[in-house]
Amino acid sequence: MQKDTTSAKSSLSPFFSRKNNIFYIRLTITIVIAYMLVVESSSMLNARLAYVYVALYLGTNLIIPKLPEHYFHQKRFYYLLAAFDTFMIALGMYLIGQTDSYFFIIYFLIIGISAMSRNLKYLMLNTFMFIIIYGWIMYASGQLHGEQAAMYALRLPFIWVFALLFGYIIECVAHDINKNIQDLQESYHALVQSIDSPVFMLDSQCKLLYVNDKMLSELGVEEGQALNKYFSTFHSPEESKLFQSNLDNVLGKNEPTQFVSHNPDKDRWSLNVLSPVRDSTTGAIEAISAVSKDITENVKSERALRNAYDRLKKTQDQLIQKNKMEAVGRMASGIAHQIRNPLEIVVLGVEFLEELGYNKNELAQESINNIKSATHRANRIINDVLQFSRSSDFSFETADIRSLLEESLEFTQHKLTQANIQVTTSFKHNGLLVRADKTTLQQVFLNILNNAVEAMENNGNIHIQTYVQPFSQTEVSGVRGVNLSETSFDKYAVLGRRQGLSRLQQALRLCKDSPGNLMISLVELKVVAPQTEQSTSHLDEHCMRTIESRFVQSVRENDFVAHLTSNIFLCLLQDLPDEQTASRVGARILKTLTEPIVSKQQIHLSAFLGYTLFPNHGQDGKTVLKQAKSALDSARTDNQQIVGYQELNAQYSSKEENYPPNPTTISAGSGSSSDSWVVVEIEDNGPGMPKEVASNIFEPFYTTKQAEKGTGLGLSIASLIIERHGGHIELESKEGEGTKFRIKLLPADKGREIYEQSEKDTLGG
Amino acid sequence: MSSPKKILLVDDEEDFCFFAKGHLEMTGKFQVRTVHNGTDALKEARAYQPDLILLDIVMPDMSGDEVAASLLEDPKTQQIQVVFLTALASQEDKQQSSPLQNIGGRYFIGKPISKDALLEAIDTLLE
Repeated sequence: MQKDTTSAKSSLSPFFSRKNNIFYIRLTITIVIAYMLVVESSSMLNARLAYVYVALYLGTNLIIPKLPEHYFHQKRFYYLLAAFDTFMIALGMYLIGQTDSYFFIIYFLIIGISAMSRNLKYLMLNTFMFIIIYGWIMYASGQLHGEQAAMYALRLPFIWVFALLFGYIIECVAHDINKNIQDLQESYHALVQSIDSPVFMLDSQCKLLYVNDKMLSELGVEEGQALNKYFSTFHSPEESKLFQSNLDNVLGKNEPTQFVSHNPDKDRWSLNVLSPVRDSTTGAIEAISAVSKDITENVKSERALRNAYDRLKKTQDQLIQKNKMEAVGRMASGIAHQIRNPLEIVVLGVEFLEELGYNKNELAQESINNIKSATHRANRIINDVLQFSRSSDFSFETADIRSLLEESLEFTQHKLTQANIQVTTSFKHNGLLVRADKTTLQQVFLNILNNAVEAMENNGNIHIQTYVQPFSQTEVSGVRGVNLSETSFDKYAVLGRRQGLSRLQQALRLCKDSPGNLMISLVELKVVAPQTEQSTSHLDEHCMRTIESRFVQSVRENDFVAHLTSNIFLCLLQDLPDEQTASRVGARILKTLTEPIVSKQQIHLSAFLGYTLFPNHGQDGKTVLKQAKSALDSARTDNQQIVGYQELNAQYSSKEENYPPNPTTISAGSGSSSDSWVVVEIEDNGPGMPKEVASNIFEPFYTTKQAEKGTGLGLSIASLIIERHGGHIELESKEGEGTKFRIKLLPADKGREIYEQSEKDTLGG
Repeated sequence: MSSPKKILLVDDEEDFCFFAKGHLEMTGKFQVRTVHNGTDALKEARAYQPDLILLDIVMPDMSGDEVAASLLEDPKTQQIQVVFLTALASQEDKQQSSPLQNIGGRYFIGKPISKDALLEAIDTLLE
């Protein structure tokens, strides 16, 4: 930066330097005088003196280039030089002795030098002085007497007029320049004022030297109140300190810097750019300019985005885990079935040998016993595998978590006493009710207890506690399946439409493999894309078609995830582009609702979605609404509770006459007291487990036990069971300190059967 | 003691048939014939007129379900008691007392099953 200014200056200087111009003009004067000396030497009074004069003048001129440039901008030096030259010209005329010659014309060159001062007054004063001297010289040498007196006398006003002409030109130029500068200033001012961010200038002490209107309105003061005040007058100490330190930084490094500051009073985030303001000639820092851009929105959206991303990542991880478990389960069950047949032959065959009397020999009997126990073990493994893979039809009921745990303890009592393990319990609330399939849930507790006993071997403590923990914000929406409440979406409505759409399109490419992915993306789109723009016009035909085919497929395959996906998509279609599309979508919802293979919960949810998302569109919309109501009624008679059931029903009743209802006022779920987990913690003080074990503990077939002791499926089954309960199982373990299992279950009044699948008869061919 | 009950055992696992037949006949209470596919099973059921048919569900030519349906259509065989053998049964239910399960009016015996359990189940059915 510094270098650039210098080079720009040096490239201009030969043409615009005052010093150079003066040098060349005076050189010209010398040459002209020298010429006159040669031409008119005959009439010279004192030739030798004249040569000395020229040498002297040339000598003074040779000093000129050596003097520094800025001397010529100092008035005193400059005027002195011009006055000296005026005197020199007069002296020259006198020395040459040709007072009646045209020597006086050389003065016009001096006028040029004077004019460079751009000072009219001085120019005229200089000229006046020369006229006096020249007049006196002419008078003294007698030119003003005689017949040609008038011609000589006329020279004086001629010089005056000529000087005036010069004066006029420099005044005009000065005026133009001033005007240009003024224009430039005005446009710079307009530029700075037009910036919709506070722009200001500070000195090294953080004193305000300049502020623009935006800054003034931010501060809420008049210009006079702000100028020459310190930055800290208007800002918090922390902010001022930050500013000062960055300002010092700029001064120290001599380069711009930027930083983010936060105003806690206004909850305002700013991106501040500080740059040095340099003197154009010297390059020294004169002040610091500051632009402070409001980035509150960006910061907030970034945060919201990060939250949304974290949440989605979590959901995605869960879905991936779920898919993985299911795939492993399917494979395992296939293998298990294949093994059962040959195993049966072994079982019967060994018994047959026994029957035939081959067990008389002691060794034979032992062999038979060994084979029998091996087949028994094999069968146990198969059963574990099958149970793991089975989507059994859980029968959910309301269960007291305390009594469930106490029963489980009773079952393990024998083992516990044998291993000399103490059990302490703390049940914070009595009568904590959960929604559970008692047998399988108990199986989970037993499994964890058995693991603890086996891990501790001898002497140890197991602590069991239950408590209630409110859902976190993300869990609220998670537990509700898909929370369609507009308000919660608005919180995340931060990203641009385009970004959302590109993600949707990406998801659509993936959705063939995983409807879950699509669902996430759709929710994400809904989440990130604000309602302000039209939501469907950007969706291209491909998107629509894919969704449609997905929808048809979902109905055919009874694939509930896909079904849900389609419905969520419908929620994106809130402003359906035209009546035709609207009725097509309506027909599809209707089809889902009447499809016999869809379970009641699904009908219910469809009804909910249809009702919420599809209230505004003609006959089909109306039919959907009717269907929704009857689905709700049937759901109520079956005493099935579902997401936002009561609210929806209430909403429906109140809005029935007032069709169509306003979808934005319907919210899924409620802020009721049941919005919390029932948490069971089972903690032992055994040896704990290393991280890699802990992170794999819920993986199928992962075991650290010996072959006879376990199949490596116990905890996988446990995790699966808990998931089917709509809960979570977590593990905390530190080597040498113990292991803690935390099981979060849904309270009894929180109906959630979204992910339950109605399984067909597992015994079917 | 009455005359031995006639049992038709249908399973594509010949070794299984061998041992099961062995166990059943050693009790002296049963007379067992075995066939290894659905087509033979239908023929044999008409010809042999058994008291009970043990029918495997998964077989190469036709499934146990199809065989049972055909048996019901034929007046000569429709009165015969049928019990399905399956490797698909779940453990949980089996732990409950009897190896024999009645699901929707149809009887199932889950594999693997021990000799004693098999005999017990058949006795229950024939009573």
